[in-house]
Amino acid sequence: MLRKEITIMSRGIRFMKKGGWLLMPGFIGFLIFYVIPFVFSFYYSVIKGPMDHSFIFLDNFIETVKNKYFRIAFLNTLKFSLVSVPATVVFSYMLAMLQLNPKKGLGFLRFAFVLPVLLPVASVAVIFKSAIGTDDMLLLYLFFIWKNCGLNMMIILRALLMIPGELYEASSIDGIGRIKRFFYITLPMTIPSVLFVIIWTIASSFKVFKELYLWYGAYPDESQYMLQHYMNNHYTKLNYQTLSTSAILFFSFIYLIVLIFYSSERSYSKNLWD
Amino acid sequence: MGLKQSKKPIIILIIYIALVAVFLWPVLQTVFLSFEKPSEICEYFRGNTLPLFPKSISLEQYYDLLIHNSFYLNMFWLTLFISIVTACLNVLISLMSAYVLAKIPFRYATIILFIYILAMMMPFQVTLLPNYIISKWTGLYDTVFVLIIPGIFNPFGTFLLVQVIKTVDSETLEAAAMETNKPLLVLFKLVVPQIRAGIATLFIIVFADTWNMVEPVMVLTKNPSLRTLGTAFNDIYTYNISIAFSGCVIYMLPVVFLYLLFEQEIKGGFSTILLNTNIKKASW
Repeated sequence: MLRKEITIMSRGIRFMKKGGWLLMPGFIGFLIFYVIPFVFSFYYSVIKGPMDHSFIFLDNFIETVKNKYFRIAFLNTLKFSLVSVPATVVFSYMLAMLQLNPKKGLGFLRFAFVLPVLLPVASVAVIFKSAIGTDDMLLLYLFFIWKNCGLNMMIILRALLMIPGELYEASSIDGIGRIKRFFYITLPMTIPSVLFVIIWTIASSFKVFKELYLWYGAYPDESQYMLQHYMNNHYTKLNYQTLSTSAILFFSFIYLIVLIFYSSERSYSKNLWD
Repeated sequence: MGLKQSKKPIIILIIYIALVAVFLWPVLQTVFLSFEKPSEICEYFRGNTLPLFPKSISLEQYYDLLIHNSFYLNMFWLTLFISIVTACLNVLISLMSAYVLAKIPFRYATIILFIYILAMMMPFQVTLLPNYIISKWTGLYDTVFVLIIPGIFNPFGTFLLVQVIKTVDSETLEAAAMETNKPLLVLFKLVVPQIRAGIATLFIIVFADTWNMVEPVMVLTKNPSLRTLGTAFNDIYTYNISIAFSGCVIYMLPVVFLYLLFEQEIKGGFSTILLNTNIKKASW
């Protein structure tokens, strides 16, 4: 028993000596401002209320799932993600491929695609709505693509540029067509970046709120009522139990998605390099 | 390859320029309309249609925003200060953490990275209330620090830089680590010069993120003098719509400026990759 502890300690010391301490400031701050709040939130979701801290386990969860508006919000968010994420990722990929055609002097135009990522939602949402002119979900989808494809494009472009040229040389010797070359070389070589982009876009799609709030206020049409509305409205009503519970439910859902993608990415890169 | 490609460039060029125009449209419209008279802007909003070009050109909106009403300008400086400090410190912390996670092998690296990814995807509301409680405990509530410190530890930077630092050649780093036992030296002398593009990208992203921050300000402060520019926008549309467009332009300005400042850096990063690979080979 003691020996085991000593080996763990010496391993720790060796790690620290090699530079492991560099991780510490970031990690401690991360614990205080991200992990501990999450644990708190979890605690709030299994107790009865701010006054009565008695443990009620899953009751809050059952009540939240039974709530009609939670279900509407959840389904709307899911529907939005299912449509907007593939659309955004495919569009970003095409944009990145478009960037590869090196026209001299047009590189600066890439700025146009990156700009929306950086611009504050509040400063463009209202004018975007009037420029598109529609009032339904299409507006939200277009805004989402417009806002998110720039960063995705940069990441995919980077991955495209990292593909070793020899692969293409070999393929041209073998006389492989363009479409085959895309599916057998280009796409597989960029899969890790694409998975990252997908995860990132899913996360952003869950966070769509500010623009909807600016367009329609806290209570939009039922078809546009997202989980963020639900949580925000419960926050402003000081309804902390419901807020924590739905937040935890929401988070578990995200956790599941990340887990699936993360493990698929790992197994994929293993297959690629082994 | 070269021959085949020359058939289509005109079509591709047209598509490209059309896309650029579409993407820039809302931004250009904002800039143009910021020179419209405030009274006309109110008219437009009543009619619910916004033209691309203003009927008349005046600087009245900017006058109202910056000179007549000084609190927007104060907000601007405060937000700028918060964003710059957060971005600098976040880059520093992320560099240190990412270096360890990417280049010093240890047991828990994968699991820590995984937790970072999860936290990165967590919606703000999950930790809204606990953050409030913690800020009360630590005495940070309603100070400027509460808007800066959590941002410094935002895991996105670590995650991004881990991906970037992984591409740095490990052998030179190991050789350097044999020579010296100062990991900070290795980090700043060997790693940082190779990943300037990544650092510049992260800096811009964190800056923009902090610059656009709204919810933490609403929840974690109550002093009106700590309001950031992002929070002002909810009010601008309801009470001061006439100066909204000039406000938007001022709001966009620092981010655009920063992008232009770092563009060379980011491009430099791209062109070093270009030297190693052959860009034409990767295209259609």
